Formats: sequence, structure tokens, C-alpha cells
Amino acid sequence: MMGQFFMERLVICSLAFAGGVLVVAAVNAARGIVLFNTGLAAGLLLAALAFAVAWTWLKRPTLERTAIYVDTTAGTRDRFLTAYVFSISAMPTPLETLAMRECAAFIAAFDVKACTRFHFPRLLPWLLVPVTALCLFALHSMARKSSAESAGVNTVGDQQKKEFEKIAQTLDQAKSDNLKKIADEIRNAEKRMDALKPDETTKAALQEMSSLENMIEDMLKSQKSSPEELAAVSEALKQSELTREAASALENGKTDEAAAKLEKLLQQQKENPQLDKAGQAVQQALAQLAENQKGEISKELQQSSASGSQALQRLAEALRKAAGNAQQQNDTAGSKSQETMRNILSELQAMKYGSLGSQAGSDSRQGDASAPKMIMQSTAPQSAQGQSPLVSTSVPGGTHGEHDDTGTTKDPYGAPQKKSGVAPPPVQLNGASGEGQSLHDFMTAAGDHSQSSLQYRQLYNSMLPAAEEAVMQENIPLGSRFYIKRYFENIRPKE
Amino acid sequence: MTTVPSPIESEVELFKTTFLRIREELGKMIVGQQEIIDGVLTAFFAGGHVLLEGVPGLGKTMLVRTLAEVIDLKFSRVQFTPDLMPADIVGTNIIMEDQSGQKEFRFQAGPIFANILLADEINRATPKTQSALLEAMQEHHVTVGGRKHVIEEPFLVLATQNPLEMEGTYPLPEAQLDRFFFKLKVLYPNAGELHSIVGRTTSETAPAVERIVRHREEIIQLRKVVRQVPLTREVQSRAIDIVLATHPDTAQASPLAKKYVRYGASPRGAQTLILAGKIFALLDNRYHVARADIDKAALAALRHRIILNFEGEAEGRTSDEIISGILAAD
Repeated sequence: MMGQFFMERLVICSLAFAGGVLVVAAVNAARGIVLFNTGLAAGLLLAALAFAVAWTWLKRPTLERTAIYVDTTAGTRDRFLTAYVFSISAMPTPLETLAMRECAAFIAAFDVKACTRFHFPRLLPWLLVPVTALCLFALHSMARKSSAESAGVNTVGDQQKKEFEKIAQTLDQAKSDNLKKIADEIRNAEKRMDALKPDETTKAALQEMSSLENMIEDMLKSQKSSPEELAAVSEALKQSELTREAASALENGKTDEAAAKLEKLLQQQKENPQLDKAGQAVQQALAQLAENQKGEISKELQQSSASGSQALQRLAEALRKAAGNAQQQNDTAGSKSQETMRNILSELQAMKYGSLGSQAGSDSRQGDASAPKMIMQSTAPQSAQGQSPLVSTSVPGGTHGEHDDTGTTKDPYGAPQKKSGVAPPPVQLNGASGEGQSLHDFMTAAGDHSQSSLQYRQLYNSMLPAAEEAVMQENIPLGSRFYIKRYFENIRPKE
Repeated sequence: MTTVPSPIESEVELFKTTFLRIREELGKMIVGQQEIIDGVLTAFFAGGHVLLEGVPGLGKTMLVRTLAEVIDLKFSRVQFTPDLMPADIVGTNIIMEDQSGQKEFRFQAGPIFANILLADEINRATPKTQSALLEAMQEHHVTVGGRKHVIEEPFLVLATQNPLEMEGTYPLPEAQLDRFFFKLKVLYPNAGELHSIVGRTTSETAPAVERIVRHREEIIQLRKVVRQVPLTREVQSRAIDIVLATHPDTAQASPLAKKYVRYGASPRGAQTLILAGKIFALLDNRYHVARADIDKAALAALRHRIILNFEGEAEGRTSDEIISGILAAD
């Protein structure tokens, strides 16, 4: 019997320990920590065993409890218990003596071993639950460990920081101011990420990459004026007879010449102020251009709108600058700087979407399980090419159809509800009047769809104690109590 | 070599024989309803009263009348009606003139002064009249005009009532319900039993019953034997635990009791469980009470002592469900 008690307690202890380990394992799994090893399992089993032994020894049953146990399991109608209790009685009564004798005769003929045979504890099957869960956790942990080892890094955040450092080191060697500025910004981003907790690094890395992307895109845009923009400026200059020459030079791709012609025109305006009127038409066209175009020249134009001559002055300066930029682009150093920036941009995008592509040479990260997670967390705008291929393929999307959904309302928050306590519109009942005299009267009553200002259940629950109290009072005839109770049962709100 | 039984052994044997013979005689008149017969006899030998509940025509009155015949005790019957007054049951003082012409008040005993009182359809009388039985049932005497009139032992009230849902009934007050040892539900007989009932009651000769007990002292002596049956503290604890589990405000309360019970069983419930357990033990050829005996008595002993709350009644719960839940929980 002690063995039986021990087994039952061992199962309970094991369940308790396994439950505790399960909680710890779940927390560790969520934090990405390795949680399971054979030593831990063996230790836990030993601890459960020790607890079970201690528990069984400390709570070893008395003879009376043993008798109760046997009576309960064997269905002996408390004969063991009775025999034991009456046998230790100092002065047994005649009937107690008779009872003892009867119990003794019964026990003598009873096969005690048959009913105290070992049986498996009832709780034993429940052990399967934590054991299975722990096995699954262990498998998950092993799979994760091997994946981390192959990548050579522990976390996604660490990976991003390494890549940042690599890019920054490359940029340090460059001569371009823009590239140095990018390198400084990358270093600052690294410092900011170092200050964060490990679980926040991944999200922060994504945010830093997005801001770097924006910065590089802005730099690339500011270095050139698009042909469309130049064509639009040329079109605006054609508005006036005086600036047509400059327009034709611009159309021929001679930005420098166009700027020179405009400067010449401005000189003439100073000598003859009437020419300023002619420039106003051009100024209006340029103002419209400044609103529609987003290029470098348009930015310059947006800053000046005082008069036609001032607008022309700004335009000339902008064209000079654009011509200078074009010249710089043709230089080898400028071209290299732009190419480097584009490479960094594509690398950043590849890092962000979990795939470096062919340039970075880190093929081991392709198919990383963390990639979809990163996409979902990204807050960056679409890439320079219009959209990211990963975004278009991995993130579920779609457009609304033309038809209504079935079973739903057009309002995403559901159909508007009538508020309780709002008076419903009056209802007029129609009827046909007969030939005889009639008497008209107005009756005030609850109309259709009228609503109470208090919910029925709330009202019922508030009235219930008072009703119960009233029913229990003596001055209510007992014969009527039942009907009152029945009434309240019938008006009880449904569950 | 045969051993001579001890006096107590002989008394126990006499109890068992008497009980079984009465049961046999009742079985001649009543078809089926074995649990009801056992319940009535158990309450009778324990010194309690019985409330029989069932629809009309199930043999409740016949059972009680036959019991009175078999035991040969003074029997009276009161048909409870809404206009029945307490004095109609307990009796009243009336002016009498003696031979010398002097007038004086004399107590005219009512039908309650009997060994077996059949209170037929008790819930048809008003609560005032129902309450007239309270003192007699508990104290075995009545007080009229300031004088106490003792009722002869053994005294057994067997009350019958129709289910509460029927029209024109007055539910018994809780205080009176608590005075009943058992509340037994008389169920409708099955087809086989109906055949037997029809056969017995429509033939030329009605079955005759034999008188088993001829002196009331025999019953009193047998009642004493019952009370001597020993039980262990563990078994007594079982009875107390069951009663406490019916109280919604105690730590031992069962989940069902907490939710659906307004008032739990009184201490009389525990007394009933023990006394009934003692009789069940003797009938099972044992001299000690087992926990199983207590459990066996629980339904009949406690079902009328548990008052359900509104929620319990509204959800159609019964006190039997509450008790069964308590028994199953252990």
C-alpha cells in the first residue's frame, strides 16, 4: 500500500515539476534561449523522486487511514475501520463486540491482497501532456540552434550591426562628402542600436535602414535635374518672345548657353524696365512649373515669386547649377560616388527584405526564417524602383471588390444602433371609421420598437433581492408564495 | 455444538424478523413500491414521521392503512381540506355537565391522539391547520387551553401530499417539513405492476393481511435496539459532511449548493442520516453503520430539508440533484 501511495505521489510530484519546467521552457522559447538538455531532465526526475519519497514518509498513513483506504478501494462496508476502532475501545458495548466479531469473521474470509493489488495511479496518463510538450520544445530548440550555428550569428540584430560596420568601413575610404556623411550616419545608427535591449535591436535596425535609404535617395535626387523638368522649363520659356532663344538652347541640351541667354536678357531689363512686362508671362509659367515639378530647378523657383525679373534671375542660377552638376556627373569621381550610393541603397534594401541578392555575397542568409517577420515590421517607403519585389510577393494584398460582402454591413463598425432611452418616433395606427357616431381619444402607450432606458437583466437583478425578501415575509400567505415565485421564474431573463 | 445467542443478538434478530415480516405483509397489499415500503418502515422504527408525495391513486393511503392493520396500533385518519381547523385535529375543550348538574370544561381529544395518524393530502389544508401538527410531531404532545396532553407512544404521522404544481395546494412551511424523517416520492407503477394491481383490486376477494405486532411495547423495545447500533467517528463525520455540504455559506459547500441552495439541511438532517443508517446496517446483517448506509439514506432524509433559491428553481434544479452531486463528489 505504501508503494501505491508512493507511486501516486511520484506522479503528482512529476506533474508539478514538469508543469514548472514547461512554463520556464515556454518563456525561454519565446525569448529564443536554449532550454533543454539531458542533464536537466535527469535532475528533474531525481528531484521529483526525492520529493515523492519525502512526502510519502512524512505523510505515511495511520492504521485508521489505512483501514479507510482498504474499505474504500475494496468496498468492505467500513469493516476494517470498524474492527480497528472498536478493538482499541476500552469498554466496548455488547453491540460493538458483536460488530467486531462480525467484522473479524468477514475479514478472515476476505482476500485483502486481491483488492490492495497495485494499480497505476489515476493521474499517470496526464504525464503525457508535459512530456510531449517538453519533447516538442526540445525539438524546436535543437532546430533553432542548428539554424543559428549555420548562420554564424546569434540574432538578427547582431547580423544587421555587422553589415552596418562593413559598409561604414568601405565608405571611410571614399573621398566624396556625401559618402562620408553616410558613413557617419551609419556609425551613429550603430551607436543607437547598441544602447537598445537585444529584443529591440531588430526593429531598430529596420528603422535605421529605412532612414538611411531615405537619406541616400534624397542625395541622389538633389544631384541631377531630370530631362522632363528641363523640357518643362523650356516650354515655360517659350511663353515670351524674349526668352525663346534660351528655350531653344535648353531644348538642344545646352543648359549653360540657356543660362547665359537669360543672364543677358536680365541685363537688358535693367537698362529698359518695360521689358519686365514681357517677362511676367514667363514668370506665371515658371510658377506653375514650380508647383508641378519636384526637381532641383523647381525647388529653386519655389523660393522666388516676387517679380518676373527675380524669377528669371533664379532660373538662370538654377540652370547654371544644373549645368555644373551635369559636368560633375560626367567626371569619374562623381560617377563613382553615385554608383557607390546606389550600391549601398540596394544593399540596404536587400538587408531589410532579408535577401542580399548577388552583390553582397552572403548567400547563407537567403531563406532566413526571420525575413517575413522583418517585412511585416518594416515601415520604410517603397524602393526607388517603385516597389519592392518581396513586398509584392510576400505581403498579402488585394483591392476591394465592387460588391458588398454577404452578412456584413457597409459600415466597418457595424450597423448603427439605437441608443437606449431615446424616444422612438410616434406611431399612428390606421383604421376605417364606420357610419355611426365616433368618439376620438388619444391614448399614450408604448409604440412599436420602444426601448427601455434600463436593460432588462439589469432591472431584474436589481429587483431580485427585494422580491426574494418579500416572498419570505410571513405576511404573505404560504399558499400564494409558490405562485409569486413561479411568476418571477417566468419573467427571469434568459441566459 | 451450537452457541447460545446473547440477549442483544436475539433482540437484533427479532428486529430483523419483525421488519421483514411487516414488509412481506405490506407487499401483499401494495404492488411494487419496495423503496417506499422500506422507507416508511425505517422511519417508523427510527421514531420519525414520513411525508409521501405523489399524484393521486398510487396507493399512498392504502399503504398507511395496511401498515396500521399489520402493526395493530390505534389508527386515525384526517382528510385535510381548506376549511379544516386546528381544533379538528388536536381536539378542543367542551362544556360537559356531570351527574350533579355541575358544568365544567373537558378536553375532547382529536384524531391526533392515535399511534398512527394518516394526514391525507396535508397540503390541501391552510398553513394554520398544518402548523397544528408541529408540536405533536416533535414533542409528542399537544397543548390545549394551557394544559398539556401527551400522545401515546409509538406515534407516527404519515402525511401524503400532491405535487406542489397542482391547483389548490398550500406548500408546507419549512419548519414542518424539517420534522418529517423522510420524504418519499411515490412513482408511477410500471406495466407489470399495473397488471398486478388491477388483478388484485378487481377480483372477488381482497387479500388479507396478518397482524405481526400486537403490543406497542414491542415496537418501543425494537426502537431501543436500533439506537444501540454503534458507528465510528469517521462514519458520523460522513453524515455531518454531507449536511454541511448542503449549506451554501460553509467551506464544505458543494459547487451546486453554492449556486442553487438558499438554506441547507438542519441538524435534524444529520440525526436522520445516522438513525436511518443504523436500520440499514441491521437489515444488511451488520452491527455497525458504514458510510454507504449514510449515503443510501441521504436522498430521502435531506431532499425536503434543502430550500432552493430563485436561480435553482428557475433553472429547474431539484434538491435531489444537489444531494446526488454531493455524494458523487466524495
